[in-house]
Amino acid sequence: MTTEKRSDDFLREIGRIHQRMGTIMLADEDLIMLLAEEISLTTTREEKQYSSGKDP
Amino acid sequence: MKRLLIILPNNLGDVIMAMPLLEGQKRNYPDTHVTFFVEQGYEAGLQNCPDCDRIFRFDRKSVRDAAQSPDWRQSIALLKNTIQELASERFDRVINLSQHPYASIAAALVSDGEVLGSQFLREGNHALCDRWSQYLYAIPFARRCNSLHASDVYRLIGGVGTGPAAGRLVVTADEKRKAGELLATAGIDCSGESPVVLQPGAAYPAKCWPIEHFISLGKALAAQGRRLIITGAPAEREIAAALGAQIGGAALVVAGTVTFRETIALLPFAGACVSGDTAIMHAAAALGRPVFALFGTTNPVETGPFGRGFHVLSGRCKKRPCFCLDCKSRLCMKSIMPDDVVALVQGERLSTASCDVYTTAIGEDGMCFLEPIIEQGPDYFDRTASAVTRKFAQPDYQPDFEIANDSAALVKQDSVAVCNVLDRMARALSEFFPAGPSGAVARFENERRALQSLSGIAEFWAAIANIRLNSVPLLDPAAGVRESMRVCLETKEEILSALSILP
Repeated sequence: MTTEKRSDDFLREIGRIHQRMGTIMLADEDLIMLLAEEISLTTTREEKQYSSGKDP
Repeated sequence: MKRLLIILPNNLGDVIMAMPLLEGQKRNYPDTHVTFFVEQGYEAGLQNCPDCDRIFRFDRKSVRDAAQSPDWRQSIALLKNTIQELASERFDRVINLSQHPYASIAAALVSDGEVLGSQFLREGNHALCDRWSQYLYAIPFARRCNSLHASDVYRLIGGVGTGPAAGRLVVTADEKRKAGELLATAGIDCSGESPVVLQPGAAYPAKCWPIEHFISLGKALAAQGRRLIITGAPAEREIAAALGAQIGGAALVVAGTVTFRETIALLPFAGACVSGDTAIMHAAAALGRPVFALFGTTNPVETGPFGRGFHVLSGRCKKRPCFCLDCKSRLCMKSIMPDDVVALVQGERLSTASCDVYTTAIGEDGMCFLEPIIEQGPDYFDRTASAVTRKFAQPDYQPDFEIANDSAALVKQDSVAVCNVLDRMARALSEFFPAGPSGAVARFENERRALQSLSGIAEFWAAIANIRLNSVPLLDPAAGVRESMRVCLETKEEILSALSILP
């Protein structure tokens, strides 16, 4: 389970863009917000806590 | 001068597998300026590569951390700078080899021309327009329906032709000198029999050969006078040290004490590299060192050592490649016995083995493939489905092997089932005209759900159909419906055409 770390106003901004998707052509600013959203969901290899050779 | 951007943010091994594309690009189009977009920490293979004019190191972690903080606007500022810097290059062509949605959005933002691979459309959907990229994206949905190595698929996407040339992974003279000094300090004399590199760790446990097997292998090689170099990432330091302690004085443990680049620099001194599906394995192959690759859950056809004459050992399991991340039994890996690996490393010919053993070869078509080395050894998996999917992506392809009637019948049956679904989907959409929606789209989606319950090659076709349908912009509903109908019918025709190679 992951805990939501992102701030409410970040998520609100993203929500507004998602509502507009499929209704208008998105602008560069919108795409950059969506890019930030996608990157905010990524993890690093260290955070995945793989332990080579041992079962997870 | 044309400007090309290749996007492949990670991982270390994937970036090395993209290097044959870079080599082909420079060979075919020497005037093209090539920039490679990669995340910080994954660029090691590209350093000093003559085929890469610029490595663009993206600090994803800083952007991610900022986006997760109350000061998230900092992440937007960082991204704007990144996009501005890349867009100012005015790339004529972007090749996005990544399957991550963030790479797709970045591709759309920085391109000034053609995009191959996934790109985000301003209408709000991700689109894949070229056929080989569609093929690449469909592979994870039906692993047994692809017989092409990832490096070859990357080259096909880039349109640079295939062939025996590998990527140019470069170890500089200075790096090699330092690596030589490290080995000399450890008393490893490379003038006689070369040391053997053992890489016990991998990205996740199911990719790892059991440590007790590595211990047996190391002890047996040490008993025959071979020195061992045990490599690995910092996270693998503990397991590497345990392996080294068991082997004794013949082993030099460098895991966690040298960087990935410094590890690569040790490879030219190695007489062999024994590894699972790891970046070290890809690096050793790119440097032309003898590789003995141990494959369990992942697919050596797709991500094995690329090139000619490398060995691949694969446990016999009907489910292979299952890509199970947390397999508890790991029977596929356990069934690769150390004695067989010892024999191969020492240059013996095997007449029987505990597992399937292949060498990599380059076919007349220039593609890398696995060839069983034991007489009458089995193919990694039945090649019928992969021949048909290749015919789909490459209409002039003709298989160079005989297709069995029973395999052909199954592939035909599964493919025709998909064609029937696509037909029904197109018919449902046709009811959209001229009256408007009235349930036509709902009926279409209902029919489309049938694609989820199919198996075998049908999973590949379903992936292709879904990739294409998801690429259709829907801002104008009528145009979207018309295009979706065309996609259904065209995909059906292409599938039927690919079946023409079957007896």
